[in-house]
Amino acid sequence: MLEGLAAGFADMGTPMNLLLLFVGTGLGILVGALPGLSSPMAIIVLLPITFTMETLPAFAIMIGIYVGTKLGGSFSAILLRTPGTPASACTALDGYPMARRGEAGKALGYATMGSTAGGLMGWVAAVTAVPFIASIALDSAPPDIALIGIAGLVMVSAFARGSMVKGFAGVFIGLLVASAGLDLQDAVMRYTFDLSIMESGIPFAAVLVGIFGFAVVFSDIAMTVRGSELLTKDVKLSLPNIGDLFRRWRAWIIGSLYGIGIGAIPGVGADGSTWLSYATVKNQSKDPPPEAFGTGVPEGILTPESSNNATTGGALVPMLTLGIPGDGSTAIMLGAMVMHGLTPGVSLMRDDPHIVYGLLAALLIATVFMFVIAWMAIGSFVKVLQRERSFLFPFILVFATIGAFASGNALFPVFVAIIFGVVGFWLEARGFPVVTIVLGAVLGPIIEYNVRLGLALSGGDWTTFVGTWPRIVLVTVIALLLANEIRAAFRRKSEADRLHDQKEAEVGRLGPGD
Amino acid sequence: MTAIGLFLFALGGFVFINLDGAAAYAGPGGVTWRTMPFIYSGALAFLSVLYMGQSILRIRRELALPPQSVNAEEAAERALVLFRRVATLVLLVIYASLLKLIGFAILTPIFLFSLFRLYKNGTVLNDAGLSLVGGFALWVLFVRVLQLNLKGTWFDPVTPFLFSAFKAVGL
Repeated sequence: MLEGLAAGFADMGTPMNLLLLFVGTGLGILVGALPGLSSPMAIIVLLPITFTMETLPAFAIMIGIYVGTKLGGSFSAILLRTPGTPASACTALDGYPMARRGEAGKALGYATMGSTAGGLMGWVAAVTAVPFIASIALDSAPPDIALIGIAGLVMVSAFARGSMVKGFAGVFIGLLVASAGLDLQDAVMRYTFDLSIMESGIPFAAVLVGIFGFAVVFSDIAMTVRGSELLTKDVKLSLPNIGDLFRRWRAWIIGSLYGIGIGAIPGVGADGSTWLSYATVKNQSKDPPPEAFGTGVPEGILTPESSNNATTGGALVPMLTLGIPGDGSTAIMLGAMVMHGLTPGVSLMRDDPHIVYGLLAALLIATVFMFVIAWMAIGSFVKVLQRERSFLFPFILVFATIGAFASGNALFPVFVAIIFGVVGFWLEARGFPVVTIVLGAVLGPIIEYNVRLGLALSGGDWTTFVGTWPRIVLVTVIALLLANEIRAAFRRKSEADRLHDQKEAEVGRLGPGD
Repeated sequence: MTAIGLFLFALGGFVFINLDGAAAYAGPGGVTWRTMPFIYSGALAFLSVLYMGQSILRIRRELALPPQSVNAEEAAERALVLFRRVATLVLLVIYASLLKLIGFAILTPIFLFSLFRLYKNGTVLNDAGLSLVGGFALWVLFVRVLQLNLKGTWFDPVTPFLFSAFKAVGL
């Protein structure tokens, strides 16, 4: 493992790769700082540029963006009380009150230190877990891979924003999207509408551009109408000293552990981990007492920020070992792997170990760069917060259009992207977690191929899917997750009924005139 | 409406899988090329029916409560957001449709300028300058550096001019 890691650092240590990582991380902080822009969107915008690059340099810039956005989101959460990314929403609880007290630099310092500590712990976890899980995964047979894929999709649907029906609907849309094109096993066209351009399927890059590019712009156009006011325009970063950080070890250790664990669960990502870790640290805290949280205590910034950045390491584990993305950004990176001729999944470590170790090295370097960039240039990022979205969105639309165009050197993917942009916006506005569409589209071909191969190898015997203990465990996990979600759905329904009855009773008591 | 759309999409999964009517010969375990897509379509149809039921229940609940008033300012903001959204989509479709006809060099500054004006970014002169400079920078990136073929096939005098200008200055 150490040899592989050393080789990964050597690959990533070339001046060009370091420069790309540095630029990507800076860009990530910038994008994260701007509410409405996100890591998946930034990666999508850069797709046309990464198409022409070698694989590792392309991923250097993507990893940089992925890491940088995690910290950048806290800047606007602290200074605007508008989180730059959903995962930074929790940081605003204590960051904004601290900034209002005139301690904006200190709040940003805690955010930077928390993010760096979380990023480093996430990296240690990823470096430890990836080779171990990959070595187990390499022995997987097709039924195991199919079941892991199905378990991943069930987890995505179950954990993504509450509604099981909406989560699963997204997954099945994605699976159907991935079914289009030539079926390689029977050589039959599916959903091609007799169009030769559809024979290779619905262009995946176009789906990504539509969902993470156009749909986000359509959704965030509201930001071009409303303005936002910065608390202070002159910020000097004030980093806490090491002693201060160690005194508050519980905050960033618990935050990081939550980030690593939850980041590795597909579809949950950083959004869930920041709130859960914040609640845990708050409830168990003696100094400061729980009631002090929300008034601007450093622990309230260190916890969510460490958790947020630790998810990067957590999310890379299933992505690099099983081909299951942890969040939207890793889903795009998996898609980019396919575009670069790699086969994501259990065979990635065997066939392209330099890519796996290169990405792990990039994760650490980007975390260090993130700290350095924030330390040196935080003022510039704060200035950017004052720019209105009306300036950025037109450029994003051009980048996204050309990104889709470049994926097939044709206009067809552009129109596909526009359709997915409209559909993605529509579904997102109605509470459908659209990231599940992308995950379904990524995992669909893997699941179908391995289900059919598993059946072929077993002579058509379906019991092969419960033929070994690990498979029985996987099937049990899938069944338990489904049962738990159905139970939770019924509970939510009865809670909604109770609230409705209560509201109706209140309206009746007040009467129409009140 | 969303539930109906999902249901129709799921039905399409059954109807449009292969318009030529290719034969399906059962492979190992009885699986054919249409087994998995049919499972997905069936599951999506089931979920859309569930969602339809949930939506009907929610609408009935909302109708039972007194209507909430929306103030005039909020209503005006919503209308403006909707207008900008639809106009952005229309401009995007026009941009994509004309991209290969007129070419990136002419179309992009016009597209950027239209969006800047739509979002009321700055003064007309400022927006025009920004569109021209931004369009040129993007042209250099995509056409010169990344070598994408974004030349217009019908009317594009700008791309050859820019190429010869670059050549003239030795770039």
